[in-house]
Amino acid sequence: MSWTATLTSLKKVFTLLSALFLFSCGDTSDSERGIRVALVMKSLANEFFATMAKGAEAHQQKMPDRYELIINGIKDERDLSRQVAIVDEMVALRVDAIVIAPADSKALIPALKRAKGAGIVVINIDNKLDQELLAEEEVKIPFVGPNNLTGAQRVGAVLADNLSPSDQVLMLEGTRTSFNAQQRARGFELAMNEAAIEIVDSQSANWEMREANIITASMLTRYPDVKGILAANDSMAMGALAAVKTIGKLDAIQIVGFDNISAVNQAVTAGEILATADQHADKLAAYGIDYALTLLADENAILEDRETPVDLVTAKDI
Amino acid sequence: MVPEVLLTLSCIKKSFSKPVLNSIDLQLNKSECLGLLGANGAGKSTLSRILGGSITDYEGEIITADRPLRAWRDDSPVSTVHQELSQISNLSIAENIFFGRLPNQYGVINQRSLLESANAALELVGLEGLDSLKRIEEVDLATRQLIEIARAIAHRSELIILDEPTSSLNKPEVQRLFKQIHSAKERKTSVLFISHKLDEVFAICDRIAVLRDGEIVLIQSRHEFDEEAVLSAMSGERSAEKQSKDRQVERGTTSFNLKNLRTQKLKNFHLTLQRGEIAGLHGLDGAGHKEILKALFGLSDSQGELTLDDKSFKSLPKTPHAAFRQRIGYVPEDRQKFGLLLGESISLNICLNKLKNWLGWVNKKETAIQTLKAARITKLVYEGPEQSVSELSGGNQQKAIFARWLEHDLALLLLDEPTRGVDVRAREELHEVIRELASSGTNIIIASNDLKDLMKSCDRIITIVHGKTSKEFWRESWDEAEITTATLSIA
Amino acid sequence: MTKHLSLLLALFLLILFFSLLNPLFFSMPTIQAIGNQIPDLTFLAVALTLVMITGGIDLSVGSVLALCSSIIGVHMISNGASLSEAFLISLFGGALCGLITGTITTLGKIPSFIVTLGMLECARGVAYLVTDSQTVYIGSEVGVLAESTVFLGVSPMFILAIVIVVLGQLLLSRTVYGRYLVAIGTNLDAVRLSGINPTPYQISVFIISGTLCAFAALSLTARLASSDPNAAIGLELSAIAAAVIGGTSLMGGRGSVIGSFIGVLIIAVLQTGLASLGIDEPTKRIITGAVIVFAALMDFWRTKQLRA
Repeated sequence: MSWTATLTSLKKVFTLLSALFLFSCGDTSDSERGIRVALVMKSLANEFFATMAKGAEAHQQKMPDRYELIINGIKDERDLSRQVAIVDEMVALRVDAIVIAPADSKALIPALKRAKGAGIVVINIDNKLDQELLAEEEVKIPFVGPNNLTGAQRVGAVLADNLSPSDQVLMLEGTRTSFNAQQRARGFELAMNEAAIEIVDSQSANWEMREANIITASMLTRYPDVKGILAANDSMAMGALAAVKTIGKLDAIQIVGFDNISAVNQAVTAGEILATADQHADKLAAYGIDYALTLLADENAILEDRETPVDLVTAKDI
Repeated sequence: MVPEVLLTLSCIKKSFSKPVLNSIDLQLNKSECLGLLGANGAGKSTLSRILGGSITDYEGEIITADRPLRAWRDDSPVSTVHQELSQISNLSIAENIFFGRLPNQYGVINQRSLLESANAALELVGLEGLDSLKRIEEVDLATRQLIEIARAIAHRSELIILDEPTSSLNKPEVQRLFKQIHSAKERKTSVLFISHKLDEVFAICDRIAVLRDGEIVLIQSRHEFDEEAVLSAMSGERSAEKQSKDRQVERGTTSFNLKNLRTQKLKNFHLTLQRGEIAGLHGLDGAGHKEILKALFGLSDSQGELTLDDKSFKSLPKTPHAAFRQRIGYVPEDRQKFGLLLGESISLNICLNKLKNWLGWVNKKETAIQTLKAARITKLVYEGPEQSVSELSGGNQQKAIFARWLEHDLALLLLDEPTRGVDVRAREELHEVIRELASSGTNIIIASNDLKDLMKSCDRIITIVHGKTSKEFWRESWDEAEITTATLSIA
Repeated sequence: MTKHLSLLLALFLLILFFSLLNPLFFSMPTIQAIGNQIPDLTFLAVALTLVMITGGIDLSVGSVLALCSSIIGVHMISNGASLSEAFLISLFGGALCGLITGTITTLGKIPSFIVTLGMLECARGVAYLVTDSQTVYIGSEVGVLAESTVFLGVSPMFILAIVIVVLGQLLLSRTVYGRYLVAIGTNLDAVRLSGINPTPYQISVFIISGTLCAFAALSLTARLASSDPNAAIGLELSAIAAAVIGGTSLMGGRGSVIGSFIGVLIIAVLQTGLASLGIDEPTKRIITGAVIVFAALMDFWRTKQLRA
């Protein structure tokens, strides 16, 4: 065997890695010790979180001297263990603050408790952590984000206005383990109960378009008289829309979503989707970062939740 | 008339970890059948691989038609029919014959032209009527070998290398092959015939060359052929072919009794053996003699009763594992596919079924000792117990599989073509092992198409025709021609 | 060990590379963070190595892990069982999954690829059923196993993972059982025809795989302090990647547990290193994919050199 050959091949790997690295992110090696904020996201493949990350980057670019930003996401919404690992890694890197959109309302708490123990400021955005468990574990982590329950209730109300009592509707839930999914489902249910509309079937499509498409198609064969579909996020609304289009019932079935991603925004304009809710994704992370910076600047600040606005988006708003 | 030269080899040298070929000079004429002889490891297969084009980094030069052989690519005028068949088992016979140059238009295979040319090629090797759409794995080894030869002929090769072509053929098939060699010569094609079987080489070749330790030590033309000289040239010493010793078979002590064996092919087959007897089963391909071994080792659906040593009859073993527990061993025909753990160590290959107590540690010292012991008995040539079995020559690989069945105090050992593709010396050594096992009380049944080989080691030869015993021959009174006749029909 | 030199060198260079770009990378807390997150993948990689050496594959490990984790969580929280009791039952559950796949694939002569793909779906389904699709929070009773402050700066699960790697390597290279696994993966027919019944070995290797899933489940449950029925989706692919990087052949017959463990380390260092730089997601994935292929290629080149 020849060691030189092995070394040469290793050198190749090394050069390639460096090239890829330089290509992707110019400069990180300098700036020794400013304030460093870690933004820990869910799946960056999801447009909603990608928008959130972009908003955070824009926020940082506006005040590059104030803090340094490290953004990390996981490969899909359910990769809980990787998110916990990222939190631990950020603690190891001694960042000053962690702003996190937790993939699970409970399972992240021990890791975040460790982070707080290491003296790191922790802000919870997007998906609210389980308050009972936080109290039980005696950790205080402020939540910055929209009220998903009222948001969903308002979107649901728009659908209800377009239907008559005792009509049938379907519901597509997000991943049931997440607090957001539970809140939005609850909000939808409240709106439907108020208008005496019946939810004939409700299933989880795990926030995903493909899964929502398959589930909607099968639900529609079982309940052909359905008049409306409540989707807990826009990806699933898109999936449902495709299923409705396939069977040519676009006129008979109304769909509502949540998040206001660009595709749904267009669909709303075109009149294919009735309504969605805008949580101002681009600002959400920025709100969290702002709050973290405030807390870092003022040690005596009181930890309290901050609610961010949720706006209804319908054809007439656009 | 001066013969036309097809190909000239000058100063061919090749070494792997040690020199294998030392300056080979050789000329091959057109329309000539040249026999290449030599013990395992003499360099025969390296030379044939160089000619066949699978080794290109050799020293020296081979010139054919005014061009160096290296310069030829896919259109090389040399075809090789390998000893270990290298066919693509999932493709049809026709596709195998024309693999690499399938008749096609824009990538779509022209089925009709493929079938026509395939059938024409098959006819040339006397396989007319064979369904060329059959997958190659559905036909037996002997036919597959003929198909390989058909492939070479179909490619209009100027030189066909036949590496041990007759090792799985029976007598009529060998005659058919020889006819093909003659007709190839008439078409001005040359043949390089590599074989261990001297009688066949003498029967078909115009010239012979003997290789020993990477050098050509003897070239003889047809009129000079001399068996004694060839044998001593091969071994480098006076011919050492031992005559089989007179062996004592205790007549009258039956130690193996098989009753009413029935399988798809066999109808009520009976066989009894005396203690320590070596029995040979001989027949045409598909006659059923191989099935008897498979049935005894639990490899096929079969019914029948068997007793070994004691008086009570039991039904036949259903699995190889059950057979092994009844102290039955089996050496399969295709050692690469069914016998060896290629890439693994010699000691694991030999000790595979000697490792007791599966929960325990492997005792390296003990397996090394067992390997050494088995190697000494079989005269296995190897570097060490951890050497990969893939590095061994064909003969030594076969010895390793024999070694696996030693030290088990077997009641019965079944051998399927035990000396196929094994050189003369290793063959003798394997015969010696078989005899020693027999005299220690193990019954041995050999199924083979190679009658000469059976006659060397067996006490009795039983010919099988259509799944039935046609005749029995004892060593004292057998005659080769009579045995061959007995395989053809039930007289 | 010499045959893993190129892998170790790759690992070393990877660490060096990230340390140069981020001085904070090479520090005790980062190493602890890595050590803390590898046990689950390590157990699965050992399981995959053993199965792959026999020429099989086990795609169900991620789902069986989730099922075992669910069993631990539900048994502790709903039934009030102790951790050891719950773990014992999850061990049984994992082994049962392995017994089912092993028996069907071996006796039914169906490729393990498809049988374990079926088990991947079934086990995940049962995990949802057991937990009612909810994350079950357990708390520090199990979380303590993943805390690195317990003993010598490493977590108990990390120590257990190392013990399993050592035992796995010894099992494979030194015991009769291990040699039979290699022999079966090299040439199943030859093993059968030498009078050995391969069936018990083929089935039991899946049982071992299922049991190791329960260990992985314990480790993941400890790290999350909860049982997540969605856990470890796609983790089987990382485990296969680790095994292949470590030189285990997908065709069977070749591989080592130590090699697979180094494969796990390479994947973990890469993941942590990229996260410490905050590189964007698409680039992260491209780099991860490229490094996996390169590591496997390097091992391939080296084995080829050793043979020549």
